[in-house]
Amino acid sequence: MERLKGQMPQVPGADDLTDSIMAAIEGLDSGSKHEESRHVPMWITMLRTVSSVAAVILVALFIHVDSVEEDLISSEPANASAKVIMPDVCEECTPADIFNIKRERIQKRKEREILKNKLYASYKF
Amino acid sequence: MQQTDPEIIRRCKAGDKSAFRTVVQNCQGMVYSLSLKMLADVEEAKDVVQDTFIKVWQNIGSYDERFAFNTWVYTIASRLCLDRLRRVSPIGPAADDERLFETVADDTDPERQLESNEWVSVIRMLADELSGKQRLVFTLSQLEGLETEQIKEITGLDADQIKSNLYAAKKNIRERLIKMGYGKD
Repeated sequence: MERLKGQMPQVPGADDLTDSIMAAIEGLDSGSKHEESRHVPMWITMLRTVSSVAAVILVALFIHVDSVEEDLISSEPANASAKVIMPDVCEECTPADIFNIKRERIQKRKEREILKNKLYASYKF
Repeated sequence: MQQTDPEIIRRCKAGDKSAFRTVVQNCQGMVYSLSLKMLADVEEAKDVVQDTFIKVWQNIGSYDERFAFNTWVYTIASRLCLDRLRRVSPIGPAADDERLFETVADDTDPERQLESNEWVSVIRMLADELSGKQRLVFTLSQLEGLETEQIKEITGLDADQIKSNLYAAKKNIRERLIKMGYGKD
């Protein structure tokens, strides 16, 4: 055993082994440079993140607004009919008063129609 | 153990590949020697040499110059060897190994340098039943001729662990040699 101590075997094809090691290292370095070239700058990454978050918030906002509008529309007819049947200005009106108000409204609508027709007629000339 | 010039190491740290080529040329012999004696396979040993120097290049920035560079390289190589031994069981001795071992054992020339294939046969015949740690401690101490302090640095084992692993390895090898008819020498 003493005879074997400290003996170092010759590397078969030492130069080829050195070349292959150096080639592997070159390959590693070019690989890492390639990775670096593919590296996206920080500000682009941040911009992407911010715009993604903004897009999500906008979509959420649209959905929320849409649902609120639906609620308003569904609650509108009850309020509208309440106004027609019992308007605030006429809480203590008699049926005769309501009839007069309706007649006035019809009269005004007719006058508006006449005015509108006159206006259209003036455009023809 | 031969030491590497600190100036060359500094150039390597700065990314100088020609300096690193010098390091590879200087140190590949010792890494190959360790790997061959650990793995008993020429191609596996060459693979470990390549992997070791790739790791050395990748991690040279973190190398602490207060410690010996060659010991650091030995540490990387020995870990890679232990990893390989864990993954692939070493090939047991073949008839050819027995013949080559007898040739080496019967040779009385004290100056004779063993070839790689002779080393493979000797290791397969002697260290076939050793555990990874026993193999490493035996190789570093008895075949590479390193001091206990260096073995402690390389393996991370304390003096008692080194002693017990070496004792177990020597006992196993002695028994094998006796079985083969080589007496107590």
